[in-house]
Amino acid sequence: MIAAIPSATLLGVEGRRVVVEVHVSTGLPGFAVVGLPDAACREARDRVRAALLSSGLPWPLRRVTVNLAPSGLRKTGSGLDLPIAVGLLVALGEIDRRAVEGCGFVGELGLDGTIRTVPGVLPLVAALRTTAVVVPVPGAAEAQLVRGPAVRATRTLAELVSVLKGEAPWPPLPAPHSPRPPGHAELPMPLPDLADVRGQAVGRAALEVAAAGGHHLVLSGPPGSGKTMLAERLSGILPPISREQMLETCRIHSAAGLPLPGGVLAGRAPFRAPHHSASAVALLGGGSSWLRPGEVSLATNGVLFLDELPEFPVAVLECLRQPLEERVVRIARARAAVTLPADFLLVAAMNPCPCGEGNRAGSCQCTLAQIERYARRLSGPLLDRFDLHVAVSRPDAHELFAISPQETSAEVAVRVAAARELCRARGIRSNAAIPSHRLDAIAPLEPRARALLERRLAASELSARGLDRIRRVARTLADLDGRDGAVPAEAVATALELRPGRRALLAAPGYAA
Amino acid sequence: MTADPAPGGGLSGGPSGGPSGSLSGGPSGAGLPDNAYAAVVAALPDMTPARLRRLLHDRPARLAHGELRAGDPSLLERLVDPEGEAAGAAAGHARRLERARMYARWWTEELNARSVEGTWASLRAQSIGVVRLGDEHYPRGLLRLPDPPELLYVRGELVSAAGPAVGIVGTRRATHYGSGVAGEFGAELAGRGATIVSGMALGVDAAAHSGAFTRAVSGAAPIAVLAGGVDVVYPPRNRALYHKLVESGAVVSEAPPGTAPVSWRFPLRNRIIAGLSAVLVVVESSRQGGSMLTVEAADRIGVPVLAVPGSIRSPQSEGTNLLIAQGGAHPALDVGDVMAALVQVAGDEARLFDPVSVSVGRRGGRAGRDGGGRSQSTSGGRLDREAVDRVLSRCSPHERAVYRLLSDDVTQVDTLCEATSSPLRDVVLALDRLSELGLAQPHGAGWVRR
Repeated sequence: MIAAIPSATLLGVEGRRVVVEVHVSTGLPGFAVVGLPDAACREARDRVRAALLSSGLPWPLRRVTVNLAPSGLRKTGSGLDLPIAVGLLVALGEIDRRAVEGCGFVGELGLDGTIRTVPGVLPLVAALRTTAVVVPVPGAAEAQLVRGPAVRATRTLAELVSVLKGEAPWPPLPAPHSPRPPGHAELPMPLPDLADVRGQAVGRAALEVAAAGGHHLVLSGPPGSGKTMLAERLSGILPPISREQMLETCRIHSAAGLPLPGGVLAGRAPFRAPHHSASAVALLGGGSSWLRPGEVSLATNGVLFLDELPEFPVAVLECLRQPLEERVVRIARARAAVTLPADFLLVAAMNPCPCGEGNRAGSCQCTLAQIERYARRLSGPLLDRFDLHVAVSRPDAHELFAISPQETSAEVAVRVAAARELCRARGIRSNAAIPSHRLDAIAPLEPRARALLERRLAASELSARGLDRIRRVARTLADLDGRDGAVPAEAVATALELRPGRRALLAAPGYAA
Repeated sequence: MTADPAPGGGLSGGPSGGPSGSLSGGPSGAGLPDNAYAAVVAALPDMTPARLRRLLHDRPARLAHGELRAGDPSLLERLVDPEGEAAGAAAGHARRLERARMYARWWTEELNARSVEGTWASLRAQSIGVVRLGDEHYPRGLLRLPDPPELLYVRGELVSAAGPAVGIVGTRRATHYGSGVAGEFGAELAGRGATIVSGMALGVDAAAHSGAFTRAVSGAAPIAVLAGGVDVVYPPRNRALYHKLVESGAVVSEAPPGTAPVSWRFPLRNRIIAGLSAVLVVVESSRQGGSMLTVEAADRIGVPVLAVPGSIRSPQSEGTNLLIAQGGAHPALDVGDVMAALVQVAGDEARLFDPVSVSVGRRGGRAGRDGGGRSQSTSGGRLDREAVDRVLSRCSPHERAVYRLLSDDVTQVDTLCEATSSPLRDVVLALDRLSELGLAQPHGAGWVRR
C-alpha cells in the first residue's frame, strides 16, 4: 500500500530531485501532504481528488499520507500534482507498479483531469535522471532538449492511466525544438543590420569592441541620435552561442516560466530589454516563495539592454553592481539561498540631461539643479563598470545622405569571431575579464603606446583605475585587427576615445573639463 | 584694497592671548574684543545684513549687545523697519512696531542663552576672522557701497594686496570658450600681481580662481566671496578649490558661519564682489544671469565693467554682448584691455590702489616672452597664431585637416571621421598628436582647440 514516484521541484533555475511517497492505510479517511510543501503544493490534495473523480478513477475512503522527500527541502509549485496522483493510483493497485518503474513525472492537474504545464520543465527533467519522463504536452518540446530520458506526454490523466495499464500506446509527441537550424534563413526573425547605421564611427567601433571583448557599453546622446538603433544591432554581430550556453539560457527561461526564445534555440545570444519601471526583483530575480530568475539571469550568455538608464530607480541600478562584478546573483531568503547565473553584456543608453538635448546644441532647457539631480542618479562605481562610454551625436541631414556604404553586420561578425578566438586561445573568457595582474602578460604595450598612456596619465586625463580598463579595451581593439602581440599606439588612442568618462555622458557643468 | 585680517590679533595667527576660559560666566568679559559681541549679534536667528547694520550702526557692539540682552526699550527704534522698506508704508507702522517687539523679545532670550566667549572661541578654533565696518583692516573698496556689510567673516588670509583687485564673474554654465577665457584672464592678471575676486561658483568663477592659482605672484592670492557662511562649501563640487583658497587665498562672507547659501543672499554676495573689485570683468552671462546683478552693483559704485564678447549664437554670451552693445561695458579683447582699465582706475583713485605694480602690456613685454616659450605648456595659456602655424607646419596634412575642423565649440569624433573621410584610428592618432603639441584637448563629448 505504498508507492514512491520520482519527480522534481524548482530552486532558482535548478531542479531538485524529489521522491513522492504515497501511503494508503486504514483509518479515518483523510489526505495529508507532509515534507515542506508550499501553499500551491498543499492544494494538490484538492486538485488530485477532483482530477481522479472526474477521470472516472477511484478515490479511497482511507487514510492517505503523501511525503515529499527529502523533507527538509521546500517544495514549490504545482508540478507535483501528477506524481501524487500516479503514486496514489499505484498504492491503490490501480496501476501496476512495474509500469512506472524508472519513470519520473512532472505536471499540474486540472480539476477535469487535464495535465497542465508548469514553469521549469527543462531543469526539472534534467534533475530527474530517470530513463523516462512523463511531462505535460506543452512542455514536451523543451523536455526533449535534455539528453537521456525518453520523453512521454499525454493530455489527460485518464489517457495516461490507460497507457500505463497497457490499454493504449503512448500518443505521438509534438515536434521537438530543433537544436540548431542549418542556415540563418531559418532564424525566427531577421536581425537589424549594421549597414543601416549612418555615420557613427565611434558608436560602431564601440559596438564591435563590446561584442568582441565583452566590455559593458553605455551610449549617451540626444533623442533620435540612434542609441537604440545601435544597441539593437549588437545581437547581429555577436558570435553564435554554444549548445551548453543555449541549454543554460533555455533552462533559465524555462525556470522563469517563459516560452523558450526561438532566437536562443537557434544559437543566437539572448537580448533582454526591460523597461525602466522594472523593480529590483524583476531585474535581479527573487520573490517571496518562488525564487524566479530576473532579467539579469535571462540575459545570461547574451545582452542586457537598459534604455533610459538614469530613469531606473537608483536602488535598482546599485543592485546591478554585484552581478556585474561576480557574474552571478546571490539571492538569500529566510528559507533558501540560491545563486542564479548573471553573465551578461550590459548595454545602456541615456540622454545627457533630462530634456535630452545636452549642452551641445545650446538648446538645453534644463536648470543646473535638474542636471545635477540627473547626474547624481548614476553613481561613480556604476559608471566605472562600463568599459566603453560613447557620446552619440544626432547626424545632420548631410551626413544622412552623403555617406559611403557602411559595413554589414556579417562583415563585422567575422572580425568579432576571430577576436574571440584569439581571446579563447589565451585561456580567458573575455578581454573584459583579464585580471589586473595578468595585464602585462596578456596585453603588453608597444613603446609608443606606453608613451602615449604615460602622457595622458600625466595630464591627469586618466586615473590609475581607469588605466586597466583602457588597456583591456586596447587589447580587444588589437585583437580585432588580428594583432596578437603587443598592443599598438592606435589601439590605445582609440581605447581612450571610447572611454572618456563622465564628461562625455552628462551635460552637467563641472564635468566639462 | 587692503585688509590685515586681525583686529585684536584674531585671524591669521594661533590663539595668542586668547581670553577664552579666563572669564567664567562674566556677562561682559573685559578681555573680549568688541567684534566678539558683533559676531554674537550677527549670528542671531533671522538677522539680516540690513537689521544688523541698524542695530550696530556706529557704536560699539558691546553696547548693542548689552541693550539687546537687557531688552532695552530704546532698541525698538532701531529694530523697526524704516519707512518704505516694509510693505504697506502708512498703515504698517503699528505692525512693524509689533514685529520689532517680537524680535526684541526673541533675541533677548537668545542672547541670554548664548555665551560670547563660546562664540568667539569657536570662531577662533575654526580660524575664522571677523572684520567690522570701521575697523582699520576693513576693505576700503566696500566703503563705496551704499550698504556696506557691517561685518565680514574671513577664512584664510586677506593679506594686504600688493596690486589691485579684479573681479571675474560669469555664468555657471560656461562653455569651453568661457571657462578657457576666465582661466586665461585669471592666470595672466594674477601673474601681474592682481588679486582675482570671484564667487567660487561652477563655470566661470571656478575657472578664474583656478587660473589665478596657476600663476599668482606672492601677494596676489585670489579671494572668493561666498553667499553662505565661510565654512559652508558651496557648491560642494568645488571643495578642492575651497581648501586651496583657504590655504593660500581667502574666503570671505558677510553671513555668519554655518549659514546656508539661500537664494536671497546671492545678490548681496554679488555686491561685495563688485565692492572689492577695482575693475569687473564679465566673461559669459545670459541676459538674466546673476552676473548682471554684479554688473548693476558695480555700475552703482562706479567700478568700470568690461565684458568679453562672444558668439551671437551662444546663449551664454547674450548678456555680455548686450552689455557691450548698449555701452554698459567695454569689450575685453585681451588681458591688456583689463590692465588698461586698471591703470585708469588707479590714476583716478590712487588712494585705493598701489599703481606701481600695475604694468600695461598687450601680449607684449613679459607675457609675450612667456608666450614663445610656452608652446608646449599644458597650463592656462593659449598659443598665438604664429606659434600655432609654426607647430602646424611640423604636422602631417591629415593632422592639419583635423585641426582645421576643430574650434572653440566641441566637435565630436564622429564628425571628424565623416569630414575627413578617414577611419577612426587615423582620427584618434591625429587628435593624440595635436594634444601632444598643445593644439587640442578633449572636452565634453568631443574635442576643442586648446
